[in-house]
Amino acid sequence: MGGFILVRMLDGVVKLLLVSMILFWVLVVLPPGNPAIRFAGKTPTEESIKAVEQRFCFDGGNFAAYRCFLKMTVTGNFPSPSQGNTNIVPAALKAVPVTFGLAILAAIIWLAAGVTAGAKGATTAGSKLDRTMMVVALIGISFPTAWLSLLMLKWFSADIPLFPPGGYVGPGDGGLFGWMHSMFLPALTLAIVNAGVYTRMTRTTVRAKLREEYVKTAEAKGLPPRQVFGKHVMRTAMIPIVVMFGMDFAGLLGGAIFTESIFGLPGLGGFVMRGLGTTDFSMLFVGGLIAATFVIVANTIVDLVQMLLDPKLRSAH
Amino acid sequence: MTAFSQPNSTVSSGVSLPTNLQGGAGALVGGARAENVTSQSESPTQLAVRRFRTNKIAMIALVGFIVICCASFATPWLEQHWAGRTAVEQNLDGTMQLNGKKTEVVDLRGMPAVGPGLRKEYTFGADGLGRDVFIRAMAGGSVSLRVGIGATVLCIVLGTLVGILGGYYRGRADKILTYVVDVMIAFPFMLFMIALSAAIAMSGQIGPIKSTSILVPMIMLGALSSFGFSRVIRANAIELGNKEYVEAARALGGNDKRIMFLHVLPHLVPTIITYSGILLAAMILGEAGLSFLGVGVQPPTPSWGNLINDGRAFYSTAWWVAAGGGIPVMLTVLCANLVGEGLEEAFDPKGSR
Repeated sequence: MGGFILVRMLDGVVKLLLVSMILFWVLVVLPPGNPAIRFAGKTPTEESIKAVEQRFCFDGGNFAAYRCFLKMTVTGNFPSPSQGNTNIVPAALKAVPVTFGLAILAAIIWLAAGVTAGAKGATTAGSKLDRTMMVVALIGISFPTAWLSLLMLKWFSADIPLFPPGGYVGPGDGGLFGWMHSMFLPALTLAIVNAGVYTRMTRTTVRAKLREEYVKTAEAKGLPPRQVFGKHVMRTAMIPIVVMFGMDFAGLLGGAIFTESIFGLPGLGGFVMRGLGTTDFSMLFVGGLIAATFVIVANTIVDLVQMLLDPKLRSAH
Repeated sequence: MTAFSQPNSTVSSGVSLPTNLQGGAGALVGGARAENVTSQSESPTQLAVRRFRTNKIAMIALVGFIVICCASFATPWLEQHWAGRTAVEQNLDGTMQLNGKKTEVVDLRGMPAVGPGLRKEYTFGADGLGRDVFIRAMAGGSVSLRVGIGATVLCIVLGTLVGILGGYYRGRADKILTYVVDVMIAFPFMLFMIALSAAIAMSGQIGPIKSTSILVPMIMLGALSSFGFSRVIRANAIELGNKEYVEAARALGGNDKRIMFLHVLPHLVPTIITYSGILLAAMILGEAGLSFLGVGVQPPTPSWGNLINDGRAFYSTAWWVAAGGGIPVMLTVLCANLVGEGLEEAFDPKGSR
């Protein structure tokens, strides 16, 4: 088990390095022209180009520059020319808890709604309630997130002024209530889009489990239905859901871009979008690397949790 | 993807039933359609087609999707004979004749002043530049659908190629391919797309393709999604590679290329068809997202994502501008998902229920 964890962590580090290389290649090597000129800003001068060349090691070739970029990101000192040479790593790290909070709040809503609805649908398969829930879930899946965000803003901020039209209130400034107030609408939007997938997936897995022989055995033994459902059905049905949840949650950390930009939340997505308008892509690099770290860490955790939940996998290692 | 139960749709799900019996069940349920089924044995494909045709919801969704496609690709006709203006034509003085009265299309603050209504001009209202939202939605559809369908085809071709090579050959090549796919999946998808399109936009031109061409989002979406799809194909190809008939073909001296394309690929077709609906839905959502962020289809070319972005400034007052992009995306994705689900049930009635 310990060895397995170690191998998985090493694997994650190697993957992260590869991801950073691809990111560097896309952002720095792929666009034509001298990257130093691009990084020197909109009005490059001889000196500023020289300074950039030295700071980012562009004079030593692409690989040296890559090492420079990586070192600056990891040591947390990345002065971005487009941001007035200020260090952007603290700004990126400050964006992480915003995105994290949004993702957690959204995940609580969509998991509670999706898994409950899916389990209910599976046990009452074919009923009117089940069919209605599945149609609603499918409609939820079909919504483009950006448009749903705009609709939510129209309905619950403009038409009925329940929530602010955007902006972020940190838990330190407005307390837990202030934070919830500013976060609820974007979180609900994300949850609606995701809940449908989980409803349908839970329903399928639970239905498959209900047909398993060991469930029938447990029932035949005379176990109370509640125990059969909780211990024998849901526990195994949760495995694929946990796997998908890990991936989706990590994806949200790097990809809640629509919600964040529409609701004006200063999260990672907003950070990356801010970098889009600049000539140097340092913000995209740093933001992308942080997001990729989340995805890889989440994948590793998912693997471990899967092992804990699934005795078959545990004995294989 | 999952399936939801539809009454009557898969009564003929017992695979072991003799075909004529199944035909009878289908006829009972599906009405007149299945009546002329002969008791001759059917190929699995014919069986699937018949199952799909008796699935009412899937058929309605298919018709809906075809209607959306036809309407979108009839944009030039609609521009000429319905709205009287093109999708990019602005109404500069901001007025029009409505019921014989001069009416503002865009007010002095630049707000769209004409909402949806039952009239030829501005059926879905006007946007901030006095353009016709209905015509823009249709014209946007022809772009979004082209991007979506093209990306789906590309994703399927690339994903199948990678998956079949890895799954059939196994060994070192497979290990390398699997690892590459693993690394690419570790990327936050949307973020990578944004980074890539930013780099491409800066390049201006990649080979023969201009960076503002709709081919750019199409290829990006298709190529980047193919990694995930190749996993599905690989898993299936491994299973098929172990089948007796593949071994028999090998024993008879068939070379690898021949076996792969003649014996493995045809059996992957149901999987590919089943996934195509879901993939198309994902691609259309992807295009809408990218264009909304300004890194997909480039304005002034209308696309559904661009329309949602156009409406962003007046989401509370002129909601119809964003809805002009949002509603078609939603309907198309809904139809594509339902068709995909119908296909899944048609090809694998047992597994999906």
